[in-house]
Amino acid sequence: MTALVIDGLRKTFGGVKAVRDLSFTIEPGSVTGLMGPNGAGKSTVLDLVCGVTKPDAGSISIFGEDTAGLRADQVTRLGVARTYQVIRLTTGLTAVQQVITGCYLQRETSLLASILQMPWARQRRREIEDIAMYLLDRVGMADRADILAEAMSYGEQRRVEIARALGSNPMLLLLDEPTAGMNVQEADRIGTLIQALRDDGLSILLVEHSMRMVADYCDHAVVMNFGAKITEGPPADCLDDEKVQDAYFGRQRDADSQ
Amino acid sequence: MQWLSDFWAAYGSLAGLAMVNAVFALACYATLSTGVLSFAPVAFGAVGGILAAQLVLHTTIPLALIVLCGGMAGLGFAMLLAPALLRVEGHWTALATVALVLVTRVVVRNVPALTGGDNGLTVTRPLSMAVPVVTLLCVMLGFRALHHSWYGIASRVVRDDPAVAAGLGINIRQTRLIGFGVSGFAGGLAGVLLVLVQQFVSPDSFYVHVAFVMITGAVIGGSFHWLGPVLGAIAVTLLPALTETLVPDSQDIGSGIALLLALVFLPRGLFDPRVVLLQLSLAQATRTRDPRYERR
Ligand SMILES: Nc1ncnc2c1ncn2[C@@H]1O[C@H](COP(=O)(O)OP(=O)(O)O)[C@@H](O)[C@H]1O
Ligand SMILES: [Mg+2]
Repeated sequence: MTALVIDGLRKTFGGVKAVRDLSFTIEPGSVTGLMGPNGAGKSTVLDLVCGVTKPDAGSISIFGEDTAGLRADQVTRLGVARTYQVIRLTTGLTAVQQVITGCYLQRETSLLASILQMPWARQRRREIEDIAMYLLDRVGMADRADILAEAMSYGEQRRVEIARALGSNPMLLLLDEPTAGMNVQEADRIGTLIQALRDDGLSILLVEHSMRMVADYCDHAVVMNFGAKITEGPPADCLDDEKVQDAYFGRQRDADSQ
Repeated sequence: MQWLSDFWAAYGSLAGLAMVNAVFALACYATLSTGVLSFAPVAFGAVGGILAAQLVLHTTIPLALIVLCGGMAGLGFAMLLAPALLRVEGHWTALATVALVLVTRVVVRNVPALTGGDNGLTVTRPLSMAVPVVTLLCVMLGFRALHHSWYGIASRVVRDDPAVAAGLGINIRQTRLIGFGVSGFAGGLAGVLLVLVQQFVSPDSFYVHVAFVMITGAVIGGSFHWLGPVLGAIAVTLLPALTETLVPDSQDIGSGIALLLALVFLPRGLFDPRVVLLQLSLAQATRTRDPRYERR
């Protein structure tokens, strides 16, 4: 079944048409790169998919389920997880605690059993701690599990945020510029991780500003400008497209000021 | 042991009041830890306290059971009000609970059969100090269990960033409803204890001064761990007595100054586990940082 179907999506903020008549799909087990200059509307698309903001028109369906009328936490329960363009980790929690918050949907423990610390609740919590450590290991952060996230470097916080997103064992992962502010080696490690996750069966929507990341790590690319899709297809073809070149290098300043 | 009974005679009721206020501050912390500022525990306390007064006057139910009944009454009242209080957004919830405190006083004054009206009711039942001590300890154990539960984990994210919490599949409204339930139970217990410690209940028992003690307790003590409000409330209760002996007729100036100093110098309160954790983390972070990941 198709992982994500976006059809005729539209969203306006005041006078700004952030997303206009956008349609595309994500095939299961693939990495789709969502590209476009700053202000193109990429993050708004993620917010709409997650149910954080409601579309003015159009529909979104995730693994066949229409998300219209669902709260954000209900959309998450369909198997969606995300990271944020501006890191949003919880203040005062260590790396492993951050990932445990991400495992909330996997807790399998009733409120009462959890409060009374019943033996099975403790057992499950230990399993969750193991899962959290495993996920930190996957993003290369296992040795920093007990460090407060706010004491970490920017790139490290990004990786913790990815581990947190994986905590709910999602089927569709939305990453909003996960390599922003990283050097090339760091970005390549994230790229390798993204492909490994895809090989595990995850469907991934990767919002990326960098053409190189999309060319190297995505199976499919969708390019937006001024809220609308300008082209889609294999990454290499998209990057050569005149309209894309124009959007990135020709009219960059217009897009920024919109 | 002479000094102990002397001390108790002189300061027993003050110690009792400190424990009452600690439970009130925890009731305030219960919703605060889900990101909702609420003064409703004053009203929850009134419900619990007045019920306790009636039970003491008209029945011979053991005190432990009366305390529990007061807690349950507070819980019931909280669950009745919480959906309405959570309908309004953010700061308006706080304002709605302030209105609730004002309404509570009007109601208490105007149902003299239950509340004694303006004259109040004298509630005479010899009280062993064990009652407030054991109640406070039980409430603290309860908050400790909540802190480590999945509810505690969820509430930390909800308070820090509700949108992120929803993105993790956490039901914000449900988390806050539980917070109100806990607040109602603790508030009800605090109300019972207040009546039992003061052996008297009147419209003035549950009014804005309780809200003031609650919130200053949480701010001075720290509202990021359940131990903070307990320490803060005890400090706020004992401080006026202390300043009174040092500077006669100073009244509430001491607590006012303490609140200001706390806000300026300890914005996260006396007790904040993050302070130590941050120091440890910074030390470890520089020690173990992997150079491969460093930005050049
Ligand atoms: N909550 C909001 N309120 C008002 N305008 C917004 C909001 N979110 C995004 N926008 C506007 O919508 C446009 C698209 O923004 P965004 O989706 O963040 O772009 P991108 O992620 O592609 O850089 C921008 O012009 C931005 O200013
Ligand atoms: Mg963006």
